[in-house]
Amino acid sequence: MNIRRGIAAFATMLCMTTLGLAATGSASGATTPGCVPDIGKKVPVVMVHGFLGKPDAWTSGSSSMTNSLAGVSGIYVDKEIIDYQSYNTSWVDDPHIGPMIAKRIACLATSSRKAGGPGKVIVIAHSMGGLATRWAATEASNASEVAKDIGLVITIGTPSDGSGWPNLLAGMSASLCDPLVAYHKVVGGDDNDYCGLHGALGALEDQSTQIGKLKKWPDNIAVKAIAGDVTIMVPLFPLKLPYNTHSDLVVSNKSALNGMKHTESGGGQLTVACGGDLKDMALQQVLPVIPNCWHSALTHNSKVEDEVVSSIKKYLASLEPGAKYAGTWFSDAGIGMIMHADGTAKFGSEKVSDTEFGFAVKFTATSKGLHGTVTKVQGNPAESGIQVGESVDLETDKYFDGRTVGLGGIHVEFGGGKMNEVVMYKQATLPKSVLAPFVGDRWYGPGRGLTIKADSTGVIDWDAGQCGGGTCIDRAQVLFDGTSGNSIIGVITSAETLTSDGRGPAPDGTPLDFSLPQPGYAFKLKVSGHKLLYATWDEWSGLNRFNRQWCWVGETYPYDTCREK
Amino acid sequence: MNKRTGLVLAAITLVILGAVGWWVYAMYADKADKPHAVIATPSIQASATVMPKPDVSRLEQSLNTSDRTKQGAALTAGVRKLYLAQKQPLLPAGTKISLKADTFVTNGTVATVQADVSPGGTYILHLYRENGTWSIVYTEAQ
Repeated sequence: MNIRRGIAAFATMLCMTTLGLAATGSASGATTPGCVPDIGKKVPVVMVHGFLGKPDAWTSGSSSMTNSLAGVSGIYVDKEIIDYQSYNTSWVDDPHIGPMIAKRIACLATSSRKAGGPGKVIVIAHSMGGLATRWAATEASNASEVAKDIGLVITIGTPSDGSGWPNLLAGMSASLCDPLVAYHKVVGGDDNDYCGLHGALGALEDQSTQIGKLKKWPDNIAVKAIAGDVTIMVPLFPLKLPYNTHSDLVVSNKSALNGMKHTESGGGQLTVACGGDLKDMALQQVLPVIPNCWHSALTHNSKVEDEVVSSIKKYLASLEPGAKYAGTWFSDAGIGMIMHADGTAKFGSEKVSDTEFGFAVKFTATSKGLHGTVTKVQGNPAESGIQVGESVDLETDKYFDGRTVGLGGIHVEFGGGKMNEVVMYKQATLPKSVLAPFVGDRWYGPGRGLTIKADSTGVIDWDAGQCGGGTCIDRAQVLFDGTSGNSIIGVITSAETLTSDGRGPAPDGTPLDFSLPQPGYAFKLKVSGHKLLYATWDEWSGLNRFNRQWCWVGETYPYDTCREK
Repeated sequence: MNKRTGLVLAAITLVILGAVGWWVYAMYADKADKPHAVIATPSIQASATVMPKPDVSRLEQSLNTSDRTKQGAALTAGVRKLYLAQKQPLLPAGTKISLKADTFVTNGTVATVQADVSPGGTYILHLYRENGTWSIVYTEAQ
């Protein structure tokens, strides 16, 4: 092959690529946002192309994003794909980009709400489209509305920190502008300031001022960040030397993966790797062999499409009324519950599956939690007084707000609160290996001490007369659901006995912390927000017990004094 | 799309891909070979000549040694880094390389030259002028 043919072939590749990015078309960039009456309860999906892009990023090719989305039930793919190709070299605050995206999202969300849908929009954004969406959700005049209207954003090759060019070839350039200038010098031609012509070029620099000013994604939005990772093979006689660019050739992996969150509802990260031979990429005669994970190919990459579909399905599942509460719950009132993601639940005795009596409830989501009605009663409901048609309200229990461990608490009211209410707890899932050392009886004496069971529950059993004043626990059910250092941590699920001073037991949900024996004490149990119980007793050994020291550590009995005893 | 915009877009795409390494070839693309005239990249002609003897000697000396560091001197800085990061030899021991100076085709800062590799056959060496000397970017078996 002579060099001229090779050069020409490479130029062909460039031209085709360029045309793919920039070919002109009918300008529907000024799509007028309007409500979508036929959206029904489906979740709207908006697609946003990137710098130099146009809507066919989502529709062209044998494998296209729109084709992949066609197989997903429960979504409405916006027919008016965001189109700002006539302005696609402008920065995201251009009226035809960010503001237009904000309007479209708000419109679709409103349509969804009016039709009884969730009123949340899914955005799939390529490259700068992700930054434009971020701008819409944080900077637009209706940003607060848009932020609430977006449920999930999937960014594909979005330069969240900038293009990451310094990561491609150290020292080459920190900006797309610089190599453009170099190009200009080589090829000659007019003296236009190309970077000046295209505001977004400078803004897409690594760690640019414009990107630096963009606010982070609002907390409520789940973000899936997808990056391409191209490895170029350099042929050198019999060798092929791998050159990992850690980028999609335009945006560094690090920049593209930034911002992900809320994995439980479709967020997360994905890096799609691929390789290409430098010779093929540069000199292919007919069709360019460009790695299918390079920047502009990502929207047509089947792995990316699969991941987008997967994320959307996960997000849709999270919208199911019972998704947040799915699983088995129990209470100390003899009632347990199995909740399914679709909002159907079965109540019964603590072991719901083999209950002798029970009832089924169908829940729907409310702003506070779930509301449902009893659809079926089996066995003898006399004990509970539950009847078909009874209302059941469920909300996240106030005691557990802000807890970061695995336990969740819910508050269930029957009959609008007139009949009965229970606080329910989700079974803790401490690994057996973590819990095992703590399991057993830790007795101060008969009827006094703490028992921890293998199912993470426990009982504190105290002698009220020994309470020593102040708010304390006499007898309480506890549940351990997490770890902290050498301790297991949990909550009081039910404290039963009033203290001698009448201030009542520690309320349900009071955090506690249990440590294994250390020198000086048999174990340590801290009850947050109350007088600390610092137990310095040993376990029973047959009929003998040792170091029957115990005390309350608090205002009256500081730790040191206690230990000196 | 006007000519100027086309040129800019072509340039942007070029630098995006060119940054991967050594694709400066594209800067000298012939407009006539392009499928659409809207991309108005200026044309620069390649020319056949004879590779200067000092360049031939330097490359042959570097390639015909078993010293990996000396071999690396024949490569561009980026490729050298990749080569020295792995342990495979550039060529099997005993291989001899002879450059065919009269096959030298240069085009600005890029060029090709054929080389007889014995045993191994003929290769095209794709070169880039870096720091005033011709260095190998990659090779292509004939």
